[in-house]
Amino acid sequence: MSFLSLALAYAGFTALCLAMERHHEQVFQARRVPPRRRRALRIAGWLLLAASPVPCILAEGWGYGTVLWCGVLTAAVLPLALLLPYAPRAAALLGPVMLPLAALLAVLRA
Amino acid sequence: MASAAPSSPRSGTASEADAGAGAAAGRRRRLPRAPRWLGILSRCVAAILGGYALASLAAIAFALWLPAARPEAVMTGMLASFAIHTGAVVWVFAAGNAWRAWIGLLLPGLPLAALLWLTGGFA
Amino acid sequence: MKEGFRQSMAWLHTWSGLLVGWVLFAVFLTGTAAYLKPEISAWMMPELRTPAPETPAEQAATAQALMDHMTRTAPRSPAWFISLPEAREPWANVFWRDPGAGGRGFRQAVLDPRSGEPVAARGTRGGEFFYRFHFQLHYMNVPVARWIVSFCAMFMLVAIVSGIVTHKRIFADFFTFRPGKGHRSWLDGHAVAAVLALPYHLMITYTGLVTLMFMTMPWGGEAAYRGDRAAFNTEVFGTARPARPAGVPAPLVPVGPLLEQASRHWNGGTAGRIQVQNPGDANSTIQLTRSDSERLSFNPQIMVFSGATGALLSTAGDDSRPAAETRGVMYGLHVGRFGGPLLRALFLLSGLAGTAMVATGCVLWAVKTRQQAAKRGRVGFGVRLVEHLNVAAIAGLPVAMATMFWANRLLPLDLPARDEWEIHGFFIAWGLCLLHPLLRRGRRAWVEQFAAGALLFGLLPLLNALTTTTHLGVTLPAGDWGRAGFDLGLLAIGLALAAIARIVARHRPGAAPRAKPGAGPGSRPGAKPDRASQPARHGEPVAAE
Repeated sequence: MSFLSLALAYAGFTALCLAMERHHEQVFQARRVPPRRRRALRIAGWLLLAASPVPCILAEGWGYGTVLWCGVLTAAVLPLALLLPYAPRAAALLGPVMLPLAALLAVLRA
Repeated sequence: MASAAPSSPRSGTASEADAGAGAAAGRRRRLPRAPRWLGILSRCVAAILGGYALASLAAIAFALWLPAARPEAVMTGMLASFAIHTGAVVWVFAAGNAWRAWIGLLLPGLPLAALLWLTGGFA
Repeated sequence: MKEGFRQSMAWLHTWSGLLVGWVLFAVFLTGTAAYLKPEISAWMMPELRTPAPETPAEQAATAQALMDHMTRTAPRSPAWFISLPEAREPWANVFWRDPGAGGRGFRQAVLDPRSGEPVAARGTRGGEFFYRFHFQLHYMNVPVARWIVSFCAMFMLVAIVSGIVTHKRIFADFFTFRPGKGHRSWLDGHAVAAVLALPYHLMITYTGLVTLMFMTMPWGGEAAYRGDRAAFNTEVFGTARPARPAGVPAPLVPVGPLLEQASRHWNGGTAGRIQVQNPGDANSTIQLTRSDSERLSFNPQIMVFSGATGALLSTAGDDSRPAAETRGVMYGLHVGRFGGPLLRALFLLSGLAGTAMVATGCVLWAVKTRQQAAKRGRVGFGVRLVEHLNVAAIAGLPVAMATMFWANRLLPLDLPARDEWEIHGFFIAWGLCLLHPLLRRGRRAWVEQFAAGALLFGLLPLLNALTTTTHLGVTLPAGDWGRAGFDLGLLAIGLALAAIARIVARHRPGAAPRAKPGAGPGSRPGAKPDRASQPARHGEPVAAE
């Protein structure tokens, strides 16, 4: 379940960072972020981030779940921040790849 | 944590002179001008010892006056004291000059100490 | 005024961080290692092979065997302290008071988790050393050392708070790491390491202060209890004053039923420690403390029984009063003994991020200040001192830690005070790392110390294979992932240090505009041009001269 949290957090952070000009350019080679895309990325990012604690808390309860989620956030940002300068496309793709995988695993586990 | 103070023309040194430089600078000239290192030393003493004293006073006040069971009140004071000390340190180094830093500590500290003393908190 | 505030906070951040940076680095790294205290101890005592008891019946049998052993070996001791074996710590540590013993009047032994008999384990402190070092250092009066660490932790808290104020673009720069750009890369790295685990850094620093608060901030208790320490302890910790021995002999009741009763009382929880006062006396007590790996809160749950009759005398820690529970949760969060391997791995990662945050902060100061000094054409003593200490603290500590593991395997088993000599080995190696930069200046010192650390760590699995029978050749085929994982982890640390050494060695100072060699261990290679070509982030630390 915490893998699903990780995938959600990673995808959320990726969306939020692609909405920023600096990182948008790293991935899409275009500095300007089209306004509609920016809004969509922002909304998606915050929604994904808001959803990310849910699996942790469902699985582990409020106490452990919240602590675990804080750790998961750290584990999600670290690869993103380190991948972006070296392999920006891979960093952006990792989220959409990991998310369905994690969802599938969670369904199988349940 | 990245330090990101703006590289304004007056940057380069941070000390008595620019810790609170700007608009208030003129007003402060009235106060006696001490050597820079003395100001920094004075602030360090204020932050470390003064801040600790203020945090201790607050912890005692919590322990004696908080309407809770005795061990609870004591514990609350202890837990909060580090936040109070941190706040005091931030104040000491944010204040316009070392005098103000001290005044800012004494302003809550002295009445608190007096009140504790009058109510027999140090007995 | 607002910019003035930010600037003074930048100054505060720089100096509160730098002045105690080296202590904080050591505290962070050894504290992070302390998350693996049981695993490190297990590695350092390869003689221990018996797995821990699992079922309640087995646990009760073990507890009884331990009590029987203590009755035989220390019948006249006023108090026994027994930590029961658990899955991560499959051995029993026993301490007992012995007025005849030197020092603090305690004797200690490691007992087998099944038979309760002493194990012929080599003399070692194991992971306990890193755990103790991270809050009370070594070779020092314990209260003084704890005060020093608390003092440094307070600086850390101030540095974190002032750092948050200073770093105004905290969200805009959230994901920004620009390698190969001289001091800006160090600034990015410092910010990323700090921000990505910010909740952890704040938590671990504040809770660290809380763990020592009864020593550093006793004034509220002194005032409220008028200096009556015993009353304070009774009310705050719920521990009763120990009864005086009656002088009438009475054997201890079997401990099994007491464990069962405790487990029912704690809704299936298990006891982690047994403490016996006045064993063999009519006034003896048996105190059971719930295992601290089961709950987030470290507020101990205690049951005290009469040792002669088995009657329940008192319980403590069951009601959750808000402040006591807050402290318990803070303490529990700090030591991180709750939760599964995943949470521990995340804590480990966050701890390493904190270590990296302190290290990059120290290096950043040196890189920045050397640049400024080079512009003026004069590099002062302060910069050289900081650079020297950076090498010794950051690159030297891993060398020292690895040396202790080597000493654990190579020191003769019958050496007197063998456990102390392992620790002497740690400090001798660290001392050499402090001298080394005098001979090899600048980048060379960094590279050589990182390379030494890489070799020492990387070869540990090989040394383990040569000196024990629990090496990778055995543990991997047997599927003993606990032991195999530790050896592989040592190898991974070695490889990581080797990678760092290589990066530093290949670093071309030209990539960092105006940076002079030797200021820092270099930024990352493969410096792509910054495609974002964002205008430089405003501001740098205000490094006061």
